[in-house]
Amino acid sequence: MKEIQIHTLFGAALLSGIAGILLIGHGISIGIVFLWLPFLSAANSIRGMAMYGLGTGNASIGYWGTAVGATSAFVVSLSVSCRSTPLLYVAAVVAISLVIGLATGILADKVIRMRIPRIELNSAVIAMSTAMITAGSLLILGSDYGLYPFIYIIITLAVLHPYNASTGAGENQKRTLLLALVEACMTTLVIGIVAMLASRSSIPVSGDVAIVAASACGLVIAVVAWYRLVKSDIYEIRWTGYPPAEH
Amino acid sequence: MIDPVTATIMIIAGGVLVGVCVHFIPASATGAMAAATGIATGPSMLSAGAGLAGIYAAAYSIDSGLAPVIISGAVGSALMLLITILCGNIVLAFGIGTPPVSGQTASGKSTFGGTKDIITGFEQEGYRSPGTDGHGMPFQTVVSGTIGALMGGAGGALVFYAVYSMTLPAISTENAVALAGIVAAGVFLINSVLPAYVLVGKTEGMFDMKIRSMHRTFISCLVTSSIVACVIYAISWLAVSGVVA
Amino acid sequence: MAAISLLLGTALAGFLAFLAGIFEDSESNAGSASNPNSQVQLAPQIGNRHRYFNKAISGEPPANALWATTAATIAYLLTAHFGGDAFSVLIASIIGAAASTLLLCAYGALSHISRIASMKNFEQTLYWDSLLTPLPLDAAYGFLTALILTLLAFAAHGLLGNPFSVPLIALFFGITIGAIGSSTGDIYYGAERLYQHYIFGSGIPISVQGDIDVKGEYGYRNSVDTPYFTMRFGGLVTGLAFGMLIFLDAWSRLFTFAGVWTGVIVVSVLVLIILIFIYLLEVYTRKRYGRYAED
Repeated sequence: MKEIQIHTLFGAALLSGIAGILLIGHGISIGIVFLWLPFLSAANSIRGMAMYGLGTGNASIGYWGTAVGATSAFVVSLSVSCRSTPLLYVAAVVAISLVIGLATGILADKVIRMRIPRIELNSAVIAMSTAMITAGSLLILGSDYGLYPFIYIIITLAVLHPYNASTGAGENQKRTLLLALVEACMTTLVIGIVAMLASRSSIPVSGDVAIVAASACGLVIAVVAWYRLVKSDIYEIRWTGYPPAEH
Repeated sequence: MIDPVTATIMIIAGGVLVGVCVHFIPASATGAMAAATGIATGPSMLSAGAGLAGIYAAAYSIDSGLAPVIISGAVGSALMLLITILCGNIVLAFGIGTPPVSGQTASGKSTFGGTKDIITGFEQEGYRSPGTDGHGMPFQTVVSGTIGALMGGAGGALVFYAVYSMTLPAISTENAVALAGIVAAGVFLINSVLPAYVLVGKTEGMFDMKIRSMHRTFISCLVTSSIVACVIYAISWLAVSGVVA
Repeated sequence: MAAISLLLGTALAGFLAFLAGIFEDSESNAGSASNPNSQVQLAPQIGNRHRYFNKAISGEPPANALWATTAATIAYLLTAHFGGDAFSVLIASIIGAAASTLLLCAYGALSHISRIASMKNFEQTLYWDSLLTPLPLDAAYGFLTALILTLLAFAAHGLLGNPFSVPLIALFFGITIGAIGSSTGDIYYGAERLYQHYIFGSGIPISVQGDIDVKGEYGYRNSVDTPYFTMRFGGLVTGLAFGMLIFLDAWSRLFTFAGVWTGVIVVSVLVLIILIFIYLLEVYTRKRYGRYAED
């Protein structure tokens, strides 16, 4: 089966991420659905790096990449307002995470001499994708510093988990990316619920309700599509029983 | 309070300390099956756990100035690491029934050669269960881990205090602490993963031959944290001088 | 007043941390999370088809940080609605922990199904009941972990006076408890429970890894039995580690004999005492167990 290239997926993710952030910046919070592609692109790059025998290092790559992206977004939010000038904010965040991600990737390749093909490209892609997701989430949740740890960690798990969960001899890109979509929907659903609480009004804001509704719809569709693939990939599904005796 | 340029240098120094500390903390993922010497989890995960415990401890003395913050961070980290080692050894001694032993030393491949523990002088050969690469944390790796945790905690606390004093003029104290905490954690997580590439998931601390490739970690972390530090400097300068877009 | 709140906070934080450690270890063992999951993963490849629940989040620190931070964030936002008294903190923490438990269930079920789907070549069957029976148990332990870490974060922020916000403290505690849990309690699961048919008193040679116990006292072993076994030793030691860390850290700040340096001096003395204990334990085990016959 032909695999989607890193460039293609990231190009799409970049465009869709910026579109999503501009929509959210103009008050159309349903634009968060455009942030699902950056989730896919980050998960795909983590897959690209962890495939080469990193094993349990998978989780480290996930929280490293998100730390680069999210830290850039958090630091930039100090001086560039994400609400009044979303485009400048996104440009700054993506540029900074590109520099840090690319630098780390090149160092890992040249100085540390990791034998992982395209490590620099994958590092930069993870950093930039997670930076866009963080920027979008910050726009929705507002700049309450108490929420920063939550934004960081929920994105971390959503991007590191798809490959971690699918590891095995029968792993393939399509199923991993669909799982990434499931988890992206789950993450935006939780962000929507937290945004409802964070808005501090007694009636939920309609934008936050729209996020929850769109994410729930996306979640149902993604789970159905993913489960269909699971059924075609799996050896056997049974309600209960014993494995065939060998010893 | 310290001036922004010193703070930038502190962030770089903190990042490098964090990177180097991972080399000193004995850790190995197969330790969970008592199949290798070292604390039973990935090096970067364990260092992150110890370092963040250090930043948590350092935060209590944020009002007392630079030196108390750094030293409380260092000892807070060391406390976490030593408690983990003690309890890990308790599980190995009474749950698995094995004495702590260094696999590298037992096979004569440690930094200083010989098959004896450098500090206690205990013979390591023969105490290793057949087919494994040692188990538990013998005393020399404990000392190495303590040094590593002291460095990691100090590094995390340095970054924390530096970011705190750089952002304080722009935002309220409460927000500055919160932002400094999450940025310090971010810098810690960025720098603690780079050495894990060098170590390939397993190290016995400073008595492991892998300590000799520490210069690679040093250079990588120096470059990475310089970039991060410059970004933080530039942004906080913009914020403090009022150029808010 | 400040002294009483510090004293109360220290006692409460130590107690809560001890419980959190026990529940965290049981949660990770019920779901075969962290490093031992490599063994459950390896088993079908060498012909041991099993009925374990494999939650397969190999990074226990970030996973625990997520449960704790989500619960703490929701509780932190809810207390802004409810007010900050003890009762509303408790109710808000329960709601937050319930929400993060749903997330845990989703991640757990998705990874169990995905991992088995990637095991086609090794003829591993997906048994729905071996997922659905341990999942509520795992979720219950996860709920307790998230709830207690949230309460602990509130105690550290409110009673002990840590300047960090509640969600940030929860993130730090989550990562620390994950690191402690995966390096103490998991050894007991990975090297003893999964390999009970190998003799006591030896590490697991790399050559036999994956040859885990798939049969129980009768029938096939499932993940519900695991915490029942590990909680009696591994869980308690994990609780001891995390409880001791939080308690000693808070306790060191109760004194005031040397100004700002008091805490540092007390912790340094504690570090030396722990070093001595580690040394004595090593001497005891070497004397008690001796050399291996053949190497």
